Amino acid sequence: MGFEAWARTNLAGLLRFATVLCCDVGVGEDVVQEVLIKAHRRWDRIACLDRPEMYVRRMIVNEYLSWRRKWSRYVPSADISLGLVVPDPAQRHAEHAELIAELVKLPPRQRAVLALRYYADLSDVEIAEMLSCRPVTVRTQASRALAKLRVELGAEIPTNTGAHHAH
Amino acid sequence: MRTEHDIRDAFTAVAATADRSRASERGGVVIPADRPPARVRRRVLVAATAVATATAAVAAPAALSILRADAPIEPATSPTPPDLGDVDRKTIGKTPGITVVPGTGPRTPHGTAPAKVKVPASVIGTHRPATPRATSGDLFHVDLPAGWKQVSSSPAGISQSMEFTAPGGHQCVAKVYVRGGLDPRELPDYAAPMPINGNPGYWVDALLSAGVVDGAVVWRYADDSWAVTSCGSLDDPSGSDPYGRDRTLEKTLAKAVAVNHTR
Repeated sequence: MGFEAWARTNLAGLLRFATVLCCDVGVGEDVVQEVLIKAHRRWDRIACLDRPEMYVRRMIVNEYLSWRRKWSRYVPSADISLGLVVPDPAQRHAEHAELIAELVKLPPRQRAVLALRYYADLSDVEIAEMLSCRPVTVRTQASRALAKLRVELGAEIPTNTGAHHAH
Repeated sequence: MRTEHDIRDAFTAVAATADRSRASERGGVVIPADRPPARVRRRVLVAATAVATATAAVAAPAALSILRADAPIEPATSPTPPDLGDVDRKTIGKTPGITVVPGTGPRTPHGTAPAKVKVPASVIGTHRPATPRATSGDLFHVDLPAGWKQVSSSPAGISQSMEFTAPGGHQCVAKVYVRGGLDPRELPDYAAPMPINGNPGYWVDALLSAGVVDGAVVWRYADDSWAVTSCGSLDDPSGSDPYGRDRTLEKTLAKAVAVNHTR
């Protein structure tokens, strides 16, 4: 499959993935854009991989983490992301918005771990490979992230939430 | 009560914003008002640079058109220089950097990656490096090992790049920065130690500020002074692990780099 056809097929999914990582549509688009530029330049090789989308997703993760360092002043605030997801005043959306606001405040790697685990449904081993770290580090990051959410959410969350992932 | 299921729902809700944004852009190019214009133009410049340096000359504009306008992908007819406007020129000078062209060498064994460790603060420092000063003379030369051939050399400035062909047809690039030219804080948090000629060095999966997206050796040849080597890395297109790669070429080239100036 050529780059153009592949990109058209996978673009929506890549944008969703990047948006989840960044918790911001605009930054997510930027990240995907940068990655597609790079991917196109070497598409003849990437296309031959068994799962090119996984390769590109890893590029997205690297780009996202790098952007967090390079463009930290542009990292969206919780308010911006909150505004994107609360046009609906329904209770459930409000709860989502509150949780998203908490997620936005997490350190980038912790949020990436949660996004890869709970959105991309990757195993800790797969996440470790994608983030270039050890699985135990992934579990530690996830544990800290969940603990932080638990602390910030106060009594709303039971103390054993996420325990099976945290160890 | 919030559970892990709620986290999944929250991420799904965030993902849905991407779809809504795409739907709202179908009328044409939309740049959010809160997006810095210089940054947008910088992206265009990077794209144009890709056009100028990549063998596939339509790369960047095609990708740009996919995202920005949801429009038909049309090949660029020429790498027209973009309007630089008030773009940060220092950033631009560092960006075009390295174009990695994969080679056709032997298959790369998988599972050989050295363990990554936390890059110590004593190596990368905690503060932004000193403002780099461009130089006009050659920053470095390479005592080429047998079978290697120099292909090109860029003019020196904040950095200087040279491209080489390695045995087996691999395309490799060496890039040396003047003091302060590369901010080592952009190294990944974790990297595999790979000392070069007694100096602290690391294998990194990506160093985007240097234009490397698929692996490189980065080492500190003097205080606050860094250099990078990278080679075509997708040697095994049939492999399931595109990041498994042979690091010998990068290391060999790095060891052959002899820096002329360390200012």
